[in-house]
Amino acid sequence: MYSRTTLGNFYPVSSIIHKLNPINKVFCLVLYLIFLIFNYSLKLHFIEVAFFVFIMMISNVPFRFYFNIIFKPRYILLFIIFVLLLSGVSLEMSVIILIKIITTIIILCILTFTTSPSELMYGIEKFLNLFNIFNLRLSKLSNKIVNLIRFYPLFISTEYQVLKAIETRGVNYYKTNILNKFLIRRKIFKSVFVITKRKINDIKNEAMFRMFSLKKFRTNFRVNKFSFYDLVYLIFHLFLIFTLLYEKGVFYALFN
Amino acid sequence: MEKIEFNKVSLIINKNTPLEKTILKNISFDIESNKIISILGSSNSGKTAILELLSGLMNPTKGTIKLSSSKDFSKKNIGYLFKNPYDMFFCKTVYDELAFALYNFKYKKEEIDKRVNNVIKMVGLKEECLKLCPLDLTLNDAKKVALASIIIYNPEVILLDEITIGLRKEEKDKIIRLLNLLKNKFKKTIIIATKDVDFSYQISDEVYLMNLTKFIKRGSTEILRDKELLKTCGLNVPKIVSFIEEARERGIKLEDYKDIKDLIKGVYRSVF
Repeated sequence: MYSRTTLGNFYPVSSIIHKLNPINKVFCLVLYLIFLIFNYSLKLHFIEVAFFVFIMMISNVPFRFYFNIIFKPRYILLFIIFVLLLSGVSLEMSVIILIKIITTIIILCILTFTTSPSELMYGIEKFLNLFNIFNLRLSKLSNKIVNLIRFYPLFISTEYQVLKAIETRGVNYYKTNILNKFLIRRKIFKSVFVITKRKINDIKNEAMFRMFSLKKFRTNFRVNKFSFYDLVYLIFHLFLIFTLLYEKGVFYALFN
Repeated sequence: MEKIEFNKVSLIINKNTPLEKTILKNISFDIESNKIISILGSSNSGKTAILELLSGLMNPTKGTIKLSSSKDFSKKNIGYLFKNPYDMFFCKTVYDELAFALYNFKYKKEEIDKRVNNVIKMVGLKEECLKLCPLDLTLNDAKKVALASIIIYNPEVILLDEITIGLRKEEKDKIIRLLNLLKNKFKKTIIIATKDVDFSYQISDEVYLMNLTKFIKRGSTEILRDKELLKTCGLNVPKIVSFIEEARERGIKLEDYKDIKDLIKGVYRSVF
């Protein structure tokens, strides 16, 4: 069965972005989210979008996969803009909010397409360890976070599989009208959800078994070491934060 | 008799991406009806892809698949059993699973109940399992439920993907008896994609050999005696054939048996 590439799926090709260190990727994601929440400058957003488009191009993941994921919620995005404009928000602010949503989707796509689930789990665990003052077991938490990210692509591939199964029993989903498509989707939603939950549970148990170690180090694990390209990636994210702080006048307040 | 014709069929997935892969390359052959046909080959030879093309779940990148009578192939009634039977299940109970296709084909409730009861007897399931969740069944029972769910709506062509994986000898014998019944009594065309040479040798009327996306040879089960040919496809000669050949080299006269029970009787007669 051929699975469809979607948000949360790992796309196994070789590229500079695939070889970045997973801890660095998670750290840069957090920096970006801070930037996203506090930045309302259109100029900085354009710089950020240009950088991420460049990252998408060098990731060796076909551009149409990113485009398909961004294009899917187009009606929801248009509805959000419509509601914002109706409630008196300016056009510039509405565009900024739209850019925020789209770039969040892009950065999540870049992260999940170019980082395998094991690496992502490792990266999240090591990043959270920096703040682990209570010495908690973070492997379970990072496992849960990664499985939450993987739920959506697994749901899509399970739904695709179930649609194939019902096609072999006389119900052709793809050659029917919109109303029937809605009815079929409604009928199978619960089963697909239950099957996906079971699969996620199996994956979670397998991952915990693979990551289990008596001597506090991981076995059978591949980690990309911190390289020059990681430094460039990190510097760009730090640049975004510094320009944000400069725009907000934090440096002026500190030194005056 | 109608034939299913494959005409220069190629299948390429993930085209124009770094993960582009050729699954089938320029396949041309025809499949006759009312026979049990095995498509034999090692892993990644394209066996499952042929079944998916026949069932209409995928479309060929190049070439055509059609009936010799020029009728529309997509309308032919086809049942497809997946390699993993659990991938076929999406209903709460086994009864709902079996009745799903019949509800879609607008059968009445009494007719559905009658067919469900008949089909579970045919595949060797107990009535108690009708209330169970199909995802909780053992592999053997899951395969029976999956097979029953496609036989129940009486398709003309039955496609089976690796049906013998995980089954013991007794269960394989039951499958063989059932498939022979479907062919002889109900006049079905059965196409099996498998790596199990022994099973294929016992049951098939015709064998199609595949290797690394290409179609190699077609013939009766006699081609399964060709050690060199099977080696190129990554397969071994059936154990029963190699046993008979070795027995003949040691002077024991044996006929070309396909069933192990007939072989044992033959050995007993020759030796005693």
